Amino acid sequence: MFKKVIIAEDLDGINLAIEQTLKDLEIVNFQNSKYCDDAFLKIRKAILDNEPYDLLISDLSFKKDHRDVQITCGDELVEKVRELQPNIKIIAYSVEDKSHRIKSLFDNADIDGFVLKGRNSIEDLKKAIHITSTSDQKFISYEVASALQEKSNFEIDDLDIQILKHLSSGTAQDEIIQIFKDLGIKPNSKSAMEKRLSKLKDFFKANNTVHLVSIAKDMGII
Amino acid sequence: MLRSPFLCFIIFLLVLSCKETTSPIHKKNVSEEGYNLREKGLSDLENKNFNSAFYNFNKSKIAFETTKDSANIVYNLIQMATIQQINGDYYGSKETLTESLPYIKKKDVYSAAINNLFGIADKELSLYYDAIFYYKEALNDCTDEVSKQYPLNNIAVVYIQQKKYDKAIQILNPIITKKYIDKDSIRKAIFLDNLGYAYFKNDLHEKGLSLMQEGYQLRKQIDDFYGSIESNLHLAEYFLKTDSNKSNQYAQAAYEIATRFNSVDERLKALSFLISNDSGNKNVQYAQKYVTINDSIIKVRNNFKNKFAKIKYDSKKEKDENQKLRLEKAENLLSIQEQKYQKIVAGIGVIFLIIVIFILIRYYKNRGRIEKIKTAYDTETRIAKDIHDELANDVFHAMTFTQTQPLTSENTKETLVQKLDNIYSRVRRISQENSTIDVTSNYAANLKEMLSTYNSETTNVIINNIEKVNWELVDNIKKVTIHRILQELMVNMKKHSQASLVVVKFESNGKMLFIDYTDNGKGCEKDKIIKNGLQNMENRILAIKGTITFDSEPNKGFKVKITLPK
Repeated sequence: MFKKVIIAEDLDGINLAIEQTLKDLEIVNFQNSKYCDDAFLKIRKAILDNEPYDLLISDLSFKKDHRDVQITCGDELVEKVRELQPNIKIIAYSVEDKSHRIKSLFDNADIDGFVLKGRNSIEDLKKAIHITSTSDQKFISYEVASALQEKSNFEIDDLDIQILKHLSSGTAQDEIIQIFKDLGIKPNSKSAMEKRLSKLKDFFKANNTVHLVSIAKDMGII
Repeated sequence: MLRSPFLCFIIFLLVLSCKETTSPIHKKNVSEEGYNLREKGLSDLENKNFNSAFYNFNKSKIAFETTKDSANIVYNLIQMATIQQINGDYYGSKETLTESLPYIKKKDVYSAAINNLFGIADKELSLYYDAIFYYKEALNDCTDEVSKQYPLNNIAVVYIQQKKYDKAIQILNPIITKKYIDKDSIRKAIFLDNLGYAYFKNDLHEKGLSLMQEGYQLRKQIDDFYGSIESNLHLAEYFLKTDSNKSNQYAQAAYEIATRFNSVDERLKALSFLISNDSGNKNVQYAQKYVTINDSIIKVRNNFKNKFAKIKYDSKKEKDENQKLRLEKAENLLSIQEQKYQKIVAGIGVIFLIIVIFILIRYYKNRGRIEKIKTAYDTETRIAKDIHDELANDVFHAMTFTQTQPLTSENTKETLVQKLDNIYSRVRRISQENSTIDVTSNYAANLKEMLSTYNSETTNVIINNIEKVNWELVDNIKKVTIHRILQELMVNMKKHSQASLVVVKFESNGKMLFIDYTDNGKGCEKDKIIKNGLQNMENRILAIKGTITFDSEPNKGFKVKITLPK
């Protein structure tokens, strides 16, 4: 379990909740800071004192107030801390649910966990601390888990539209493959074609190819 | 060319005074100069400085020409003509007199004098008919008897020259009997002398001699030496054939007096008598003298003629130059004035243009501002409506729930937490819908993300070619607008359409961006489209110069086409 923890969070109520959670996990050596700058300085001091922190729990958005700050948001803080102390574990704790932002935290700052503030946040935080302390596994709240999964949206490209057009003009599947081969369009294998067709049927909620073409026409794609 | 510093000063004054608009002062100065010059001319004339006198009269005339003082112009011209006649320049004097004619408005002393002078000139030029015509004109111009005697005498002299002695006697005879003539002995002597000469020529020798001698005695009495030259000459002529000694005496006397008076013509005449009387040694001497005097007088007179012509020409040239200068000055002034006006007009134009531009800028800015305020207001009311519709009801329900249900029970507590979580997630959604939009390189991903959040168990949102648009080239304000509009479309879709499929298609060419939204929901009546809260979207799109068209029919889905410049 973690020995020394730092919390960057500007709301007192949430601070109390996090502290309570840590106490529940029998972690007693923790500090909190209401400004990113403060948190960053504390981490640096701890390294200089040779007593570095094991874990950073950071919010993402901080309210602006009278104080001029260098680091304005949690995104910046976690990146800087990761540079300063690569082996520290970082858990982001936020209401942010935009998957691209969450994804960028994992990609750029290599955070170890993301806990969404919500109904189950205390339970999630406990789970996250537990997982990250015992292994190198990543944790992410269930509600935003899709952020890390590829193909979370239904995107179609020009090739899909070409296939639909060929189908609508009565061209058989094999013939389409042949045409693609002739034009040098890839992928043009039978399996790739079938994969695409089933994807399209899935996207357009079509029962068969005829149904797919009819829907595509209705939706103005072809 | 001789030009007095005084004249230069006048020219200077003229040039100077051109700048001033107060012409009366300028005129007054000029007429004062005219009077001064005239006085100078008169004093020069008295001192027999004919050149200088002529010059000054000419200048004075020019000065009065500028003030249009015709009486003074005529006076100066008469003086000039007199000077020319004194010096034998009869053609010149006629020219000068002709110059004065346009200024003669009525018959008065001046017109009489002019006609008299014309007559003298013509007489001297042997144009006797013309001379008599002018003298008669002068006679008509004279108003009283006394002044009429001068032209009458002159006419008589002309008749004598023409050898019409009868006519001369007819004119002269009545005059010497008049009473007024007794008062003026000089005049009387002239009439007596002329009348006597006429009788003598008309072969009435006795009567002629007695009259001429009477005149001669009268002249001697009143010391009229100049007049006595004429008497001596007449008497010399009378005795020329009868008594050459007597004739010689008279001729000698005439010659001496004429020499004293420097009267050249009389000297020559006297000499001619002396030559014809004397047949001795003296004859050659007289002849030589005659030739010398005659030569020199021709020279002198030619000289004078030239000089007068030159003075007139010079001053005319000067005047022309002056006029030219003044004209140029006036033209310059005019062009300066014109330029001034042009400048003023241009200035007014520029000011007017600036004002118009300013007003237009104000107008468009204001319009833009009003549009912005309107959009902001619409957004505010939309958020307020969202909060009211989505939150107020739920919070109210939660409140009544806590008031009516026993919270001690684990079951109701769980329900309450469930309700509060629901409210929390809604608040988050409203906040998200209105939060700042990332317009940096993440824009496309962000937009895709936003669209994808409307994916659900029942609804598939299919996106096409969102990455193919070069979002770097699109204005930030347009990116924000696109994001907001698509978000509103998605919210509407979720609220009302019950669609199972949504397609958002992006397309772009060099200049334009096309976005097609299609869903297969229940749609709505065409005429209800605008009332359906889509006005806000339209305003947003118009603000960025784009177009938006809605197309829908009940149960046939909802279609939106957005076109906007990049």
